Amino acid sequence: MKRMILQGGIPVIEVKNVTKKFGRKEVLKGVSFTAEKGQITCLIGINGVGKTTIMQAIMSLIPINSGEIFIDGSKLTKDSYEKIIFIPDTITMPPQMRIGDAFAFMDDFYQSWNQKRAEELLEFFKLEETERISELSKGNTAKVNMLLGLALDVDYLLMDEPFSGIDIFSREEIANVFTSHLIEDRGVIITTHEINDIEHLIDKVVLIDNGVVLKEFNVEEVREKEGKSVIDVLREVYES
Amino acid sequence: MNRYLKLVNFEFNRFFKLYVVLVIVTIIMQIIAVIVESRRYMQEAENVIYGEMMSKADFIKNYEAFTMQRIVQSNWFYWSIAFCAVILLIYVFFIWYRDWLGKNSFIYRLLMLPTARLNLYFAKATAILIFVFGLVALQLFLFSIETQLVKWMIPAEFRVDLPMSEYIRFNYLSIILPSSIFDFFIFYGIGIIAVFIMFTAILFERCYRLKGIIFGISYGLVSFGFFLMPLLINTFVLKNYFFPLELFVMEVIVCIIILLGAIWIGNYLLKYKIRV
Amino acid sequence: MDWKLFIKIQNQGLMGGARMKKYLKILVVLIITVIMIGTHNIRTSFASQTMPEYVIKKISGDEKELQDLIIYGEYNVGNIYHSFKILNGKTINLNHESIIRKITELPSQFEMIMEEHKNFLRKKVLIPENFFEDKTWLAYAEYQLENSFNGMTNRNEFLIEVLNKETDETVAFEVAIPDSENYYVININDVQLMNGRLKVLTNNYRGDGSEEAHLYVFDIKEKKLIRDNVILKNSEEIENGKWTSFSINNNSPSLKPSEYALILLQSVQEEMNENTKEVETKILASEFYVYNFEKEVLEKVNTGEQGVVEKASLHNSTLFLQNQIDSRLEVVPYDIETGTWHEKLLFNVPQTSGNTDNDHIHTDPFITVLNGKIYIIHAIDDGYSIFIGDLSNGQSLYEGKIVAKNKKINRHDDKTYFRLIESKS
Repeated sequence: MKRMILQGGIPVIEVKNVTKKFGRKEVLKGVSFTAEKGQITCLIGINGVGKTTIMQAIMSLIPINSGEIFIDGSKLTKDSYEKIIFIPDTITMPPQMRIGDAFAFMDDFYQSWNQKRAEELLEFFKLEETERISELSKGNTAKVNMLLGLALDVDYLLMDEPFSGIDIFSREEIANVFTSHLIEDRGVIITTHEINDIEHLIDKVVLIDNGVVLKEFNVEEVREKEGKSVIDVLREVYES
Repeated sequence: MNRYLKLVNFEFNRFFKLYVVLVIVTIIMQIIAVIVESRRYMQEAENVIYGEMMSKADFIKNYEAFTMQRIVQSNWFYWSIAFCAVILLIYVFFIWYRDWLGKNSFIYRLLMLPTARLNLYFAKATAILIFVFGLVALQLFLFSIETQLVKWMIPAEFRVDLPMSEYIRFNYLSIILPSSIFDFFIFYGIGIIAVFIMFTAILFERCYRLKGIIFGISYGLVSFGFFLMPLLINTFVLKNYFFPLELFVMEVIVCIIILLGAIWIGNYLLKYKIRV
Repeated sequence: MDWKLFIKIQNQGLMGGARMKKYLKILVVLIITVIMIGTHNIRTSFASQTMPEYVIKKISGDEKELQDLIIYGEYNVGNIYHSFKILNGKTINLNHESIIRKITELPSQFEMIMEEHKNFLRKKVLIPENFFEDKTWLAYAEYQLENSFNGMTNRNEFLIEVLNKETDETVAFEVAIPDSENYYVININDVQLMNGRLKVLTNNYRGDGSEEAHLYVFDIKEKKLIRDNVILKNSEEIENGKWTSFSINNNSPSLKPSEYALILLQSVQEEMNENTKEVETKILASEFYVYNFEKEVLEKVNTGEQGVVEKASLHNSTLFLQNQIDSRLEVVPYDIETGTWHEKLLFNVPQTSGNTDNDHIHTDPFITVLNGKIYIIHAIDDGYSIFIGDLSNGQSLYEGKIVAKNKKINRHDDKTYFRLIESKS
C-alpha cells in the first residue's frame, strides 16, 4: 500500500470527540480517531459497541449529540457524497431492481460512477445485469453491494462488516478486490469483529470499547518496532 | 434541478404499476355506474309506462329526464373517486415509509445521493402532484366517454345532455374541478400545503420515532391552528373587525407562511436530524 | 478508425436512447394530463364565448335610465345555461365566478361607504336594513341576542352607532329594551334618523307565535331609548297551511332616507296542486299599511276598490299597487300625504298563452318596481323589449330592445330569462 501525503490540505477523515445517545443509552462517549487517504483503517470492537454508528455518523445518516467530523478538513456537504461512499451490511437498492437498473440509477445520480469498472467487476464476480437483487444469494448480494461502492471513483470508502455471514469463497473474492488496484489510493474504513481474515490487509487499527477509543495504532509500525501482531496488541489491551 | 427531475421520474416509476391499477379500477367502476344507473332508469321507465300505463311524455315530466347528474351522484361513481383519494392519501405516507422498510434500506441510498436532501422532499411531493393531476385528467376524459355511453343507452327523449359545468356544480366534484381558475389555485394550493404538512409530520416521526409521532401530530395541529388564527381572532377577539376580503388576504399570507414553515422544518429535519 | 472508440460511441448513443426510455412513462402521463386539462379549459372558456353579448338598442327615451342598472339573467340554449349580468353596456358571465368572490363580495349599496368611511363599517352586520345614510349622517342599529355567536353583549340589547360625516365624530351606545324576554327574534327592517332621534322599525316574534311590528326611538344625545311603539300586531295562528305574515318595505331594504315604511299584512293559504304536485301559495287577503316615521303614526290604506292586490311598493310618498289582468299590468298610485288614489296606469305586458310544455318561467315577462319607476322586460319576436316607466305619471322614460349579439350557436330555441334588476347607485 502506498502512502499518499498531499501538499496543502491533508486528505483525512477526522472524528473528534463524538458522542451519541440512543434514548438513555450512551453508545459513543467521546470517540476520536483519524483515517487517512491511502490507508485501510479498521474499526475493531465487539458487536454492538458502536462501529456502525460511527460510520453512519460520518456519513450524516444519523445525528450526533456532540463532537465534530471533518472530511478533508471540512464538514460533510451534499457534494461530499461524490467523494465518500458508505457500503452498509445490507444492499441499498430496492429489491425488485435488476442489477442493470441499479447501475443505471447510480450512473444517473453520481458523476463519479464508473460504468466500465462496474461492468468489469460484475464480470469478475460472474454475475449478470438482468438478475434481480431480491433473487441473489447472500454472498452475491454482498458482492453487488460492494460493487456499487467500488465502481465509484471516490476518495473514501466506508465498509461495514464486509465479510459477515459470507461463505469462504466469496470472502476470498472480496479480499482479492482489496488487494487489487481498486483499493489503492483510497482511504478505507472497515469495521469487523473478526480480525483474522483481514489482518494482513489493514494499515491501521482503531480499537473501540465501551464507547471510547481504547487504542489507535499503525499495524506496520507496531510490527516493526515491537514485533507484535495485531492480535497481540488487542490481547494486551483487553487483559489490562 | 437535474437530480430533482431524475428523482421525480424515479418516484413516478416506482408507483406506476399501482397507478395503472388505480386508473383501471376507476374506469371500470365508473362504467359500471353508467350501466347500472342507465338500466335502472330505463327499467323504471318501462315499469311506469307499460305497467302503470302512463304516457312517455307524462313520465318524463313527472320523473325527470335522465342526466349525468344521476351518474355523478350514484354510489359506484362516488366510490371510484373515494377509492382513488384513499389510495393516494395512503401513498402520501407510504412514499416515505417504503424507503425504510425491509432489509434493503433504500433510504441509505437516497440520503447519500450527492443532492440537496430537500430535493427528496420536493420530488416526492411533485410525484404525488402528478398522480393527482393525472387522475383529474382521467376524470375529464371519462366524462366524455360516459356522456357518449349515456347517449347510446338512453333514448334522446328521455335524457337531457347537460354540459359538464352543470352536473358538477352542486356537489363535491366542484372542488376537484372548479369552474373558476382562481378557485382551482385556491383548492389545489391548500391541498399542496396539506401534503407538505403531512410530509414534515412524517419526517418528525422518522427523526424521533415514538416521540416523533407526538411532535408530528402537534406540528400538524399547530399549523392548522395557525391557519385558523386570523379567522378565530377576527371573530372572537376583534369582533369581526376585518372585512371578508381583508381576511382572505390574511389567510393567503398565513398559508404561505405555513407552507414555507413546512419546507424549512422538513429541510432541517432531513439535513440534521434524520436517522436511518 | 479505432474500433474500440467507435463501439464506445455507439454504446453511448444506445445508453442515451435507453436513458430516454425510462422517462417515457412520466412524459406520456404529463402530456396526456396537460392536453386533457388544457382542452377542458379551452372548452369552458369557449362555452363562455357561446354566451352572447347583450346590446340594448334605444327606441325612445333617455339612455341615462340604464346607467348603473344591473340586469341579472340567464341564457339558455340546448344544454347550456349561463348566468350573467348586464351593467353599463357590458355583459358579464357569472358562471365562472370564484367562490372567493362570492364570499368576499359586499352588497353594492356599501361600495361608496367603503371608500369613504371604511372604519365605520367595521364590526358591523353589513345589511342595508341596519343602516341609514344621508348627506350628513351615517347611522347603524343592530339587535344583539344574548349569547349569540358574536357574543358582544351579555344581554339582549340594541347597538347604536351614529357618525357625523362632516365632523367625523361618532356616538355609540348600547341599550337594553323592555320585555326583551318576551321576544325570541327581533328583525330590524329599517333605520331612519331625524332630528337627533334614531328610529328603528322592527318585526318581533313572541314565544306564542304571534308577531309584532315595533318602532324603537332612541335619543342620540341622551344615548337612550325613549319610546317603544307597538305599531301592529298579528296574533293569528298557523292552521292547516294558512298563515299570516308581515312583509315590511317589500323585502327590498335600503339605507336611504325615507319618510314612510310600507307594511303588508298578508294571509296566505298553502295548497298542493294535484296536477303538478307542487305547493302553491294563494293570497287570501292583503292589508296595506303605511307608517309615517316623523309622526310615528300608522295608517291603513283602504284598497277595497282595487280588488285583490298582488304586489305593492313604496317610493317617496307614493304607494304603488300592482295587478296583472290579462295582458295588461295595472299600477295604481296612492298618494300618502293626501290620501288619494290616482289614475290607474296601464302597461301592455303580454302574458304567456298558457303553454305548459315550455318552461313557463322563461317566457313570463319580468316586472319590477324600483325607486318609483317600473321596469318591464318581455320577449318579442327577435329579442326582448325593455320598458322603463315613471310611476308618478305613467309616462315612458325609456323604451328599448335587448338583442343578443355574437351568438356562437345559432339556434332559434335559445331563451333568455331576466330575473332581477338592481341599481348600483
